[in-house]
Parts: sequence; structure tokens; C-alpha cells
Amino acid sequence: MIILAAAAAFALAASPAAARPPRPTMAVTPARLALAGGSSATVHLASAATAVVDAQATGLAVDLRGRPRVASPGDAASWLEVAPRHFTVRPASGAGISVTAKPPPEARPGDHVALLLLTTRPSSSSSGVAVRVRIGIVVTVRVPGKLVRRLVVERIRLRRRARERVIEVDLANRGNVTERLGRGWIAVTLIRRGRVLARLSSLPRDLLPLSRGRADLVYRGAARGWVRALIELGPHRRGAHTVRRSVRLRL
Amino acid sequence: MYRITLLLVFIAALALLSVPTVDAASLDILVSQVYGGGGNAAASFTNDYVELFNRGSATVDVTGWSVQYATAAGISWQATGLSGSIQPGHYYLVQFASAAAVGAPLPTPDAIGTTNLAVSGGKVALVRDATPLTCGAAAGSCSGSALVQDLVGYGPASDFEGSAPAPVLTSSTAAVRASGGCVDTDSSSADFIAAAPTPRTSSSSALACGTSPVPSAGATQSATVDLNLQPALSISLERATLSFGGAVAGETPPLISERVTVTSNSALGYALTMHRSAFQPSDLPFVVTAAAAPPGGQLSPALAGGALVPVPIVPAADLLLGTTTAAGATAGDVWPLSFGFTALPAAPPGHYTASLTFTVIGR
Repeated sequence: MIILAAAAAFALAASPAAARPPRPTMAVTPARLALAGGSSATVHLASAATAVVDAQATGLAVDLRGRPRVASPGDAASWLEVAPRHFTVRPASGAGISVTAKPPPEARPGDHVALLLLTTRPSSSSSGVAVRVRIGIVVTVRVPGKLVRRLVVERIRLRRRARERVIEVDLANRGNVTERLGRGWIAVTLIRRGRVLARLSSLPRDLLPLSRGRADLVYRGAARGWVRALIELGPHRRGAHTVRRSVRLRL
Repeated sequence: MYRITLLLVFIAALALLSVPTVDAASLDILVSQVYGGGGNAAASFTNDYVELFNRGSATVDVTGWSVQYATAAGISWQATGLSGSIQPGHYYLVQFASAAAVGAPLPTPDAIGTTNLAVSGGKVALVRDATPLTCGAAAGSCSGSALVQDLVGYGPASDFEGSAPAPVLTSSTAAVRASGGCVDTDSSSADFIAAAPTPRTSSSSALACGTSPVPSAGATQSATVDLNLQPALSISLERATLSFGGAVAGETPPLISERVTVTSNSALGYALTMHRSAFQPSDLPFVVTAAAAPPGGQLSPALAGGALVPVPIVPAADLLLGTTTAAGATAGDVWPLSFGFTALPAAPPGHYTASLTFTVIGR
């Protein structure tokens, strides 16, 4: 479906448009890469119009709420070999970009994250503001060795926002692997005198190794005053490890 | 006696005539992939290759056979000798030349040649002999040869099996025989598709080509359906340039729409950001505003309420336009943005240009 939609977008973009330059349109698959040391993978890129593309490995930063952004290159970016780095992509053929991870022997075990950035060059039109597009592909390099999984709840607090009450749950990933927190992995149950007032759950997100994250759980109910909040962190499957913590909150 | 001799000669002639001619569809070893983009710009692999497949139920010794190549229009063939045998359901990889160290290395091949296959079009023959062919000037000329086990014409090839050659190939596509190599209808165009190259060797997993027994009345049959849906991400813009025409100092030119469409099937969603370069010859107060987030998207708080927000200039951090936290709409998420200027300053007359960059990153 995605490919069909992208193809439809390409068809629109490629339609004759007088002398106007073609609309910048770029699609990649896969949108994430996971590489073991020494392994490689190919990212396939398609474009609605002939375009010159630059491929570059750089750093990835993720804010407390899991929003990714481009950052200056870190260790993992320097381990990636990207080929070709500059190329022309044509609508009929697309292009393949090879990414190989070569971490040094002294690299610490676990996951290291970088960003493969594919950038079109703006059209050569001399009029107005030229527009270009970039797609960032998150590349996780796993260095073999002892893998540690340690996810902890650091703090829970309540913040008032208009008529809503937002329960902020601060987490820390003290392990060395990226933790994928699925939908509902962070659950907060609000309890008063043994009665459940509400059960709130989080949106899915990734938490990078040795990083912190914040989940906002919105309570829109009418209850006010002191409640007990039971925080459960885990996949909520039978037999799966779940971190539990209970605190008092004033709604 | 003369009549008996004549009868024996006639029977012998009949026997000779009834020796089966080569019917590629009835034989077991086939060409299952052809890739000619090895080492070219944007190549998937460093080397060209041809992959063979034994779709039969018996081991076939290919010692003395050859994989031969001729250009799309040529009849001069280059032969690469083979050795060893191919087990039923197994593959056999023949590595060819490399244009440069671009792309991933091939898995350890079963045979190595130096032939340089053309990227987009050519002819590949699997021959039960090492003598170079001399056919290929016209369609059907090689497949009529008794020694040609299989023939694939791709792109603008002059010879091929069936009514048309296999598709034109690129540096990132190979001619791939359908169903893992099991399909053979003696038609290059029907048996092959252009797809991502996936070279397999004699060490790769075996594939048993299914037979198609006639189902008995009331019997049920099941088939395994298998698909790896890859995470995909695309971005498409409404315009390649934003042109505001002429304006004077103190004026506020009308906003120009730039709808950004992002398509993502990631369950975690994506983030959409932007930045710009400084206007030349001197900077101007360039701003963005957003009408609304698409369904399922969250507009950046900075853009809430239709605020006009300055677009940051590199190397400042990107402006976050919005995020999603789930897979998007099939047709894509449309972010309706508009761009313009706050009151233009008293700058020298001239032609002012800048570039604007939209970035999408899967979460």
C-alpha cells in the first residue's frame, strides 16, 4: 500500500508541469537498518524525477519525548561506510545505497545509533526559494559482547495543562541495547480507596541505550485530590518481567 | 533382403528423428538470476553474477558446461567453464567482473569468470559445452541449439526465449526468475521480473519446487503465504521552488502554500523538521505557518494557533514541524504549510534567493 501510495505520488509529481521544475519526491526502503559489526545492507531509493542525491552518515539525537533529529556525527557514524556518497537517481531505475558497519575492536558492546541522511540537491532554478528534501534512516549497529537490559522508572510527577492532568513518567535506559517500548508498555493505574479511577497507557517509542525518556499520560477525568498511581513498565505478557512502582499523586 | 535392410534403415532414421530436441521446459538446470550492475554507481553488489538453479529432483553434474554471455546485439560469446554438481533444489553462483568497489560483496561463489555483463541488456546462455556459441542474431536462433540448456535475453537483447526478452535491468535490479527459480515457460519475458538482486550459492537454503497434483474431490490443500513488508518512508513536496515575485520594503507578500506529504508505515511514526539557508545577498525575515496537523499527527507547539514562526538558518537546530506516533494514512499524511515574510526590511533592491530543506526521520 505504501509503495502504491508512493507510486501515486510519483505519478502526480511526474506529470507534465509546463516549465516548472519537478516536485521533489523521494522514497526509501527500508526506513531503519540494524547491522551487526562487519555486516552490510542496501537501502533502495526512488525518486519521481532525476535528482542528484548526497548520502552521508551522521549522528542522531532523540529528545525526551522520542522525537529524532539530526546531530553531529558520533562514533557510530564514523563506523559506517556508505557507497555511493553522491549519485544521480532516475525515476525508472532508482538507486541502491550500500551501508556497511565496521566498528573498531575496542567498541563497547551493545547498540550504537547513527543516521544515514539522503539529501536531494535543490533545483538549479535561480528564482525564489529552492526547496530540497532529506530522509533520515536510523541505523543501529550492534557490537557483540555482553548485552545489558536495564530499564528504570526515575520519576513520576503531575503537571496541569488547561483542563487536563498530565502524568509525566521519566524513564532511563541504563542498559546497552535500544529498548522498544510498545504501545501500552508504560501503564499508570490511578487508584483511590481500592477503586480504579483510570488506567492510562503510553504511545510506542524507542529508548536508546544510556538515555532518558519521558512519557506523557493524559488524565481527562473529573477526579481531584490524592490518589495512588501504580506504574507498570513492561510488555504486560504472562511471564514477562514488569517493573512496578507505586506513588501518591495529587490530581 | 534388400527390403529388410531398407526397413531397418527406415526404422533407424525414425529413431534418430525421434531423439528429443532440447526442450528447456523439460530440463532441470536453469538460469535463475542475471545481474550486470556489479560495481557500477549505486550498485547493489560489487560484481556481476549469474545464478543457476536445479529445479529437478536429481543431482546434475555441470562439469564441462559453461555460462556464456553476449552483448544485446552481438553474436560473439564469452564462455565461463563450470565444474561440480548441483543438488536438487540448490543454487549455483557464477561471479563475473566488477566495475569498482561499489556495493556489497557477493557471497562466496561456486565459479568465477571475468566476463563483464552489460547493466541493462544482454544475452546469457547456459550451455552443456564450453565451446562459445555463434548464434543470437535473431530471436529463437540460440534456443534451437541442442546444447543450449537455457537462454535469457534481457533488455534490448536480439535473442531470447519466447516472444520478448526479460525487462531492462539497472544497477540495483536483477532479472529474477519467478518463484525462487521454479517457473519455466520458455519465455524470458514471462519467467523473469526485474527485482532486487539476491544472489544464492550452493550453500544457500534449498528450495523444493512444488508439483501440482490434481486435487481429488473434496480434498483441501493449503499454501504458505510469506511476505516481508519493509518499513518505508517517503516525502513529496507541492513545489520545487517558492517564488514570491516582486515586493517593496515594508510590504508583506502573500503567503505561498507548500504542502508536504509524508508516507510511513512505521508503527512508531516519524518527525518532520525544516531549516533554511540565509537569503543572499542579505537575509530576510522568512516565516512558516501551519493550518493543521494531518489526522494522527501532532503539530509542533511552536506552530499552534496559526503562529508565524521564523524558519531557522543552518547551523541552528531544525524547526520541528510535527510528529506522528503511528503508521500514517495509506495516501500519506499531508502537512499544509504556508511560507512568507513578515514586513520586508529596507534592504537594497536585488534578487534574493535561499534554499529550504525538509527532513523526515522515522522514529
